[in-house]
Amino acid sequence: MLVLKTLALEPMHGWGVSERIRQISQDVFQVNQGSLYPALQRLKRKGWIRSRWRVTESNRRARYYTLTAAGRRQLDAERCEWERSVSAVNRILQTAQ
Amino acid sequence: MAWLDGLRERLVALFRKGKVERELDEELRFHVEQEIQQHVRAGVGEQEARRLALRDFGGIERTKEAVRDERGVRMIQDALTDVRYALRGIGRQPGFATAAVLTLALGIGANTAIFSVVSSVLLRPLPYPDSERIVRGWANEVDGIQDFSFRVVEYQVLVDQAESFETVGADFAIDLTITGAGMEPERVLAAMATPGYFDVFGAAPTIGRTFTREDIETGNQLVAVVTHGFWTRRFGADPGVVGQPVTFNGNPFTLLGVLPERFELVEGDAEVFIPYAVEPWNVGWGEGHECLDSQKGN
Repeated sequence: MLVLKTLALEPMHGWGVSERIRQISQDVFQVNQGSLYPALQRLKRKGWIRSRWRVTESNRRARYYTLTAAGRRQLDAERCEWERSVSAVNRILQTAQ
Repeated sequence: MAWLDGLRERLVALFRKGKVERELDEELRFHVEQEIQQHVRAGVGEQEARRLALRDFGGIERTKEAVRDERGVRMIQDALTDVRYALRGIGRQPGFATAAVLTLALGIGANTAIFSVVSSVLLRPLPYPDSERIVRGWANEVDGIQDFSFRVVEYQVLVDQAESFETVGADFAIDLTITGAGMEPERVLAAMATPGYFDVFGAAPTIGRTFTREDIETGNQLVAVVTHGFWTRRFGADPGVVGQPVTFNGNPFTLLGVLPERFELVEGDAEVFIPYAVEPWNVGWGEGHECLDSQKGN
């Protein structure tokens, strides 16, 4: 979900995603860099993201990923799920006090 | 059409394996390089930066494996690898491989042979016009098995009294020996046929004619009709032979006509046909006659 959200902002290469998540989460989440790539592959296989080779600012070749329309829908769905889980957990935590 | 993209992914992964692997390698390499650069910019020495980057990444090979797993073509690729391994194994044991191949060949060959026979005997129609209307009569039935032989008297009865048949013909297999000027004597499979026999099959002779009832009644019995194959083989397909005498069993028969090429007997390989005359002396003859009839169209 976090990967999808990151890509929703703009197309990015694998390392970019990893860095962005680390920055924004203020180091709470450090995506295990190795596990990012099979995850990307899985998202690609499901058709939620697309990839294309492009040249970076420093003139190097890298694979950029973009969110697809289906990916966007998936992101929304997962976000819904997340919000539901969070509020449910919060409710339980409150009453337990 | 998300699944279509996925499918395309898989196909590419299957057929352009080299390219896919190279690209993965390049992509991971890029990631590690970026990581190293970041450390370097933070003031870490190059060696140390590389160490840190690789450590943080977690095994590269392992990652590659994980990505390959996710590709969803693992099963097929594994299957292909297994096939290659099996082929190598077979190559190491040629004796066993030969035995297996021969067994398969035998099985397939036998099956094909049986099927071709069944196909031509049961499934394909006879090469005669209106072949559905040709029936074969039987006079006796013993234990559910029809006896296709007729006696002459029975045949007479059939001809005279059966009304549902358009034409009736019968034949009786015999051997003849042909001798002639400048040629080898040859034993020929032949048949004595009733005049209607050829009509049953709709076999109009390509040259000359077949014998008719008049031939027999006027005593002109020394006539013969031959198959195309016989005519080609024995007389070199010479049309001038028609009307000439041919000697069978020491008697001169006039060659009346030649049957069309596609005419084959249902059974037997008779190449020469001479008229079957019902004489008082052969009325009592027993089995051996085959009777084929053509049904009237109703």
